[in-house]
Amino acid sequence: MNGGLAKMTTDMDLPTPLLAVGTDATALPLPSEPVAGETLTSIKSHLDLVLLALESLTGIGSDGILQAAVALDLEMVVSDRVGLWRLRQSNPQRQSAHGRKTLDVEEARALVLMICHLAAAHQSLIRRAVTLLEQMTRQGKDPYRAALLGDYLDRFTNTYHERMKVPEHHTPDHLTHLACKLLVDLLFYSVPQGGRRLWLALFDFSLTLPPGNS
Amino acid sequence: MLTLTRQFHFPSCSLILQGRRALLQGWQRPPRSLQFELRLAPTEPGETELIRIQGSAEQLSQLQQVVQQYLTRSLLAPGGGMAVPLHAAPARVLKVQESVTLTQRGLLTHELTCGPLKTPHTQIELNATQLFDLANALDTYRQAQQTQQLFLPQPLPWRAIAATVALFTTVMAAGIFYWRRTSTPLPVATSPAIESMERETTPVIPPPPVARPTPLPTPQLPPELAGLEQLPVPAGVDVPARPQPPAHSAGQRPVSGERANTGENSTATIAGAETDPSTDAATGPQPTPTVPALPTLQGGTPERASEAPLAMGEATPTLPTEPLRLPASATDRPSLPTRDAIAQLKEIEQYFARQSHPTELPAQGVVYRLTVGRDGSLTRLRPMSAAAAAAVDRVGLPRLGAVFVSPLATPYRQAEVDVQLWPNGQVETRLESLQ
Repeated sequence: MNGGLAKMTTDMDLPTPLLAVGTDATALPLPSEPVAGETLTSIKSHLDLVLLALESLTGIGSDGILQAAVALDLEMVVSDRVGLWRLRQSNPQRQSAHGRKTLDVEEARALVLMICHLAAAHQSLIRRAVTLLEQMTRQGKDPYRAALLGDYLDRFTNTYHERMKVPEHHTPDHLTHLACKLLVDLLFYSVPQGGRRLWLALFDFSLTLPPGNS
Repeated sequence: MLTLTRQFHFPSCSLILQGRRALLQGWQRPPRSLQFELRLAPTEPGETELIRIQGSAEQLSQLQQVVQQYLTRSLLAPGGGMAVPLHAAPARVLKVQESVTLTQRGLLTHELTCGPLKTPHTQIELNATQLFDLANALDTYRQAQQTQQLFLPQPLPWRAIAATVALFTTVMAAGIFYWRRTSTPLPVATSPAIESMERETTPVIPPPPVARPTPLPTPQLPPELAGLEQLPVPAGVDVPARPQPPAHSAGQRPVSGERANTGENSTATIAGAETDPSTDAATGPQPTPTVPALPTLQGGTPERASEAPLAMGEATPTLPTEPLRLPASATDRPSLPTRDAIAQLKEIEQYFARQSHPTELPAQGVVYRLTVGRDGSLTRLRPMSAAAAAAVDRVGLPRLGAVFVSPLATPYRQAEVDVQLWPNGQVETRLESLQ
C-alpha cells in the first residue's frame, strides 16, 4: 500500500508515514494504486463543489468551516481563512486557481472530515431538501417552486458563477442538475459512515482495495 | 435454543435480524441460522403495504456489498450521476436475475433487483432517501457484525431476580410462621405477652364447677374389736373384690353451664345427679350433700366460697363461689313458660268454658294437646287418649286454622297446651312447650 501511494506525488503532496493520515487510519484507507491525474483533478474539484453546496444550503461561511476544523482537531491543517482559501483554491475549476496547484492527502482528508461533520450537523435540513426534491420531481414540478430548493439552487448557481470558470457548454439546467446531485451526495455524507463513503468515492477504492478492506 | 432478535429502524427502512443460539453457546460466537427481513416503506404515496425482503445472513452481506459498491462507484463518485436525469421510470425486467443488483435509473431513482431474495417483488424502485436509509441499515449491521456486538449478551435482570427472591423469602417465612402457629398452641399461661395483656371486660362464663371426688368411707374399728385376731376365710369362699367407683362419680360429673344458669331447673338437675342410683350403688351410703341456694342472677349479694356452709370433707359438691355472670344474650333469653307466662291459657279455658260439654265424658276426663300458632290459630290438634279421640267432635274443639285466642307474644312462634275437659264442665290447661 505504501509503495503505491508513493507514486501519487505527481499532483498530491503525500506526507510520511502515509498511514498516519488520521487517528483512525482504517476509517479512511488509502488507495493501493497510483491515482491518475484526471482523478486527482476530480477529487479537488469535487471537494470544493461539495463545500459550495453545503454553504449554499446551510448558509455557513468560512467561520463555520473553521469551527468544524477546530472541533475535529484539524487546526494544524486548516489554521485560518487563508489556509482554507488556499485549500479550496486547489480546485482547477476556480477562476483564480493558478495560485495553488497541489493538495496533499492530509489536506484532502481534512476537507472530507469537515464536510461530513458539517453535513451531519445539518442532516435534517439536507434530508428535508432531498425529500422536497423527490416530491417535486415526482409531481413533475420545477424544484425552484419550493422555497427551500429555490433558495438553494439560486445561491449555488450564483456562487458557482462567482467562483468557477463556467464552461461554454454549461446551461442553467446543467448547474441545477449539479446542485441537485451534490445535494443528494450531502445526504449520504451526513451519517457517521459518510466520511468513509466520501473517501472511497473520491478514490473509487472499491476496484483497487486489497481483499478484506472493502 | 434462544431466539435472538435485533432490529435497526430508520425512517423508511427497518432491518430485523433473527438468530438462534444454544443455551450453552458463548455470546461471542455468532448465532446459528441468522435470517433477516427488510421492510421498506412504499414508494408510491397511495400504497400502504410495506415491501418485505427476506433472506439469510449471507444474502444480507451480499446485499450490503452491492449497495456499498453502488454508492462509491456510481452515485457518489466525482462526476457520477451527471449523465442521468433526476427521475426516470424503472426498466421492465423480462427474465429473473440470478443476483442482487442495483441500477441507477435517475439521480433520485434507483432500481433494486432482488434476485434470490425472498420477496414478492422482483424489482423494487427506491428513491434517494430510501436508498440512504437502506445503506445506513446495512452499514450499521455490518459494523455491529464486525465488532461482534450484533447480539450483545443481555444483562441479567437483577431487579427482577432480587424482587423474586425477596417475595419467595417472605412467603416462606409467612408459611413457616403460620404452620408453627397452627401446629403448636401457644403456652397461654407462661406467655409473658399474654400475661401482660389486660383482661377483657366482656362477661365470660366461668368454667363449670367440678366436684371433688368423694372420699371412700374408712370405718375405724373400736379398740376392743381391733385387738381380736382376724379369722381366715373359709375354703371355697371367694373373697369379693372391693367395689370401685365408676370412672366418673357423682362428684366428678360435670354440671353444664346451662343447667347452672337457671334457678329451679339447675337445682333439680343437680339433685337428680346426686341421687343417681348408679352413683349410689357405686359409692354406697353417703351423707346427703347439702346444696346451697344458688345465687340469683339479678341483684342480691353473692356469698363468697369461704362463707358457704360447705365442707370439702363432707363430699359435698362445690358450687360456684361467685354469682354466675351470663352474657347479655343469655340473660335476655326468655325464661321457661309458666302458667301465667302467656295469656292464651286463660283464653283457652274461657273458650272451652263457653262450649257445651257432653256429660258422657269419662270420669277422668279427656285431654287434647292443642298447638297454637303465632296468630292465635289452632295449627294442630292431638287427642291424648282413645276416649278423647272418640269425643273429638262433641267437645266443641276449634277448627284447624281458626283463630280462637289472641296472637302470641312477639318472641314466640307456637305454644303447645294440654286441655283437660272434665264431665262437670271444668277445664284445665297446662302449657307444655312454648317456642
